[in-house]
Amino acid sequence: MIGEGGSLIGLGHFLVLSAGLFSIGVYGLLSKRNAITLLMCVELMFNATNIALVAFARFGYNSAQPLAGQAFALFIITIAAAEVAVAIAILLLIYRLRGTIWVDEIDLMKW
Amino acid sequence: MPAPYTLMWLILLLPLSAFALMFALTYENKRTSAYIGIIAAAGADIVSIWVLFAELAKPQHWQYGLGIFSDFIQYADIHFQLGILADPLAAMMSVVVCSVSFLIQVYSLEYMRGEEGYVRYFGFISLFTFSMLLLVLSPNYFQTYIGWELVGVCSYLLIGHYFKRPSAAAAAKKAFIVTRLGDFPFLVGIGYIFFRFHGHLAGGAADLDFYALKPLYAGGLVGSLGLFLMAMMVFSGAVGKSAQFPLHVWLPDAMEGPTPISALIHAATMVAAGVYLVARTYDLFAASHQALAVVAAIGAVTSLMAAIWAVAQDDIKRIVAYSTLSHLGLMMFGLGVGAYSAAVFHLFTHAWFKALLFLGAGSVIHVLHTQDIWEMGGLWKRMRVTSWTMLIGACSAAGIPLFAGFWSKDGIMAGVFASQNPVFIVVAILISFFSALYTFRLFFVVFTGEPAKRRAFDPKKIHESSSPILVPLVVLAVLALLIGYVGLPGIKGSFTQFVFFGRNPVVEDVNYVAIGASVVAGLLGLVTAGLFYWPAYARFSAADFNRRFARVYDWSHNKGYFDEIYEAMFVRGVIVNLGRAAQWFDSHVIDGFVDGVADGYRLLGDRVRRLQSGKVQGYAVGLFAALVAIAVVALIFGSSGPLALVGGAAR
Repeated sequence: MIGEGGSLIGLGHFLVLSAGLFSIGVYGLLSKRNAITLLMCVELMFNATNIALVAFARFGYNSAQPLAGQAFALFIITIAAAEVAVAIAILLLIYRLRGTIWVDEIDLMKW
Repeated sequence: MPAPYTLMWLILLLPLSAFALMFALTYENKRTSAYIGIIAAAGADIVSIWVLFAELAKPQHWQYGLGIFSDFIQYADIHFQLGILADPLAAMMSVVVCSVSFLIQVYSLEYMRGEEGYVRYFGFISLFTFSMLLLVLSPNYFQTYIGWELVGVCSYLLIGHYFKRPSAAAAAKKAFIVTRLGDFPFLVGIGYIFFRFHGHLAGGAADLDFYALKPLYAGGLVGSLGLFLMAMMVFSGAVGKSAQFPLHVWLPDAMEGPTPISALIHAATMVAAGVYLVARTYDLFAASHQALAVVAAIGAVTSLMAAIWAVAQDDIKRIVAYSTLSHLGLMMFGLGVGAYSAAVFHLFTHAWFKALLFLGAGSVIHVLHTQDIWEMGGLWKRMRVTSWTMLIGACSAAGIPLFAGFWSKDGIMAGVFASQNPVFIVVAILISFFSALYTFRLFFVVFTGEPAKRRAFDPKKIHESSSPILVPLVVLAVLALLIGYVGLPGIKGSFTQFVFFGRNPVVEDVNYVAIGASVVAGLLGLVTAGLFYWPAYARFSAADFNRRFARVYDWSHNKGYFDEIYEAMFVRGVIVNLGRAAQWFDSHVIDGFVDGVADGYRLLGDRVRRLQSGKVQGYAVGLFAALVAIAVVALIFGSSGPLALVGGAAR
């Protein structure tokens, strides 16, 4: 990797990338109304997390278990895939029942 | 420990299990339940009599804890015990309780036939018998108090047997509350005795033990004022239970209960518990002369007033009830002047002849269906057995020579004369006169002459009661006739040498002056009653007399207006307001608090649940806001800040 031995790109860069990606995800999650868009924003946040985890592992944090970061990232990718599958199935059903996937109109589960 | 003493727990267990059995298993089966109660009482009676004979053969004192209850409360050096006590006094009293209970239940077989609550009635009699025996056989104040309150509850339940009748419910309540007024100081007194003598008891005795306390009262641990207060507090319990002035008002009203209950609880046993308590703790009273004087005065006042009131009553049961009051007062009187054995002996004989009078009255009521003596009359020829037994009971109660009441009453008379207090002597003679007067007034009005004319009642229908009613009457009549001879004065081995106070029995000389005065007064009363109320010999008209001395008659007829005075002073003034205050406190403060808590949470819930909006993005905003807040806190305070509390940032 380029960063090793005092190169220009270090952990900080990865974390800034991760934070930026995460923030975009949060912004989308809070501001968009389409449920599919929300799912995509959640995916962005997952990936931001993954970048941070892999970067930590690569730069030698947690030397006792050096591969923990990568392992977590792999798990997250798997689970994210499953989650999207379930979520899209639910959204399909909601669309059939109510004719919309705009989350501000799907608010039956309340007091 | 010899044989009968080891079996004494049976005396308690049998009536208690009879009660449990009736209510648990045989509630639907009237006859079986009644026989269970009768058999249990008979069993307890047999053991009691056995114990009594053992005591007679060799008077001695035994006591032991009752199995697991012998350490009923054991904490640090505090030790309360439930146990069994046997000594001449307890043996005598337990025989009275068991025997009367047995006879009453036999009598009730017929008397209560077809009444509502037949099994409830027998069950509570068994419970009462158990409670009373718990009290009688109690070796300490602690157990005595338990029995004391239990008999109070049973009395309440049985007075209120016909609880659908408002007067019966009110009488039950009155009896319970008035007795309570005496019980509370008694409880305080027990606490006083406990704290004063705790730790001074000889060798391993449980706290509040009667025998262990005996030498301590006068032992100098408590001053004379303390002893007086102690004695008065114990005595106030006795005043309530034995219906002494000024708490006497509940007993006449207690006649709302079934007649056999009046005979058992309100004549022979429970009301005697007060006298028994004073006799049991006589060492305490003997240590304070002032206390004895108060006991004597209260007894004398109660006895005389009740005797005068009894003369002006019209209800047969109430007359007998006032007679009970008078006799209980006489026992207290006797205890107060130091005639210990005589008073206890009177307690013993009174139980039989008063139960007899009540059961006889019950027999009359059962046939005539009225309690007004002026609606009776002329029963002598029609109810032979009842009449004869009532005559014996009346003679015994009036202290006519050779009957049971005579022997015991004259012991008390001798004691009163020995006190050399002229007021006491005059009062005692008056009591003798009036008790003969009201007893024979009752007898003459009810049994002599011709039946009173009543609407819708044919005198030809008057017939003798059936045998379950007559057998107890005859048994009690025989006892009322003969039982006095166990206490002939001045004879070795008589009652006074069996139950006595102090180390050795005092052999009293026969006081012929006292006996003579009392007999003359009694006979005078009898003759007066005859001249007024025996139609064949009447020389005076009671109605004229009552009219001429209307004020005296009204005072007596209205029982000295005590009910009215109490009603005005305490019930309307204090108790009703107290009740209102308590009601207000309950509905405002207690309910206010409970409702307030509920309302508060409902209000809070109303506000908080708005957060649950159903908008997913709303939740997400909250989530990220919290995340940001945590991040800010962490940035400002670092790892040692508030986050350390939730376990964050531990390094």
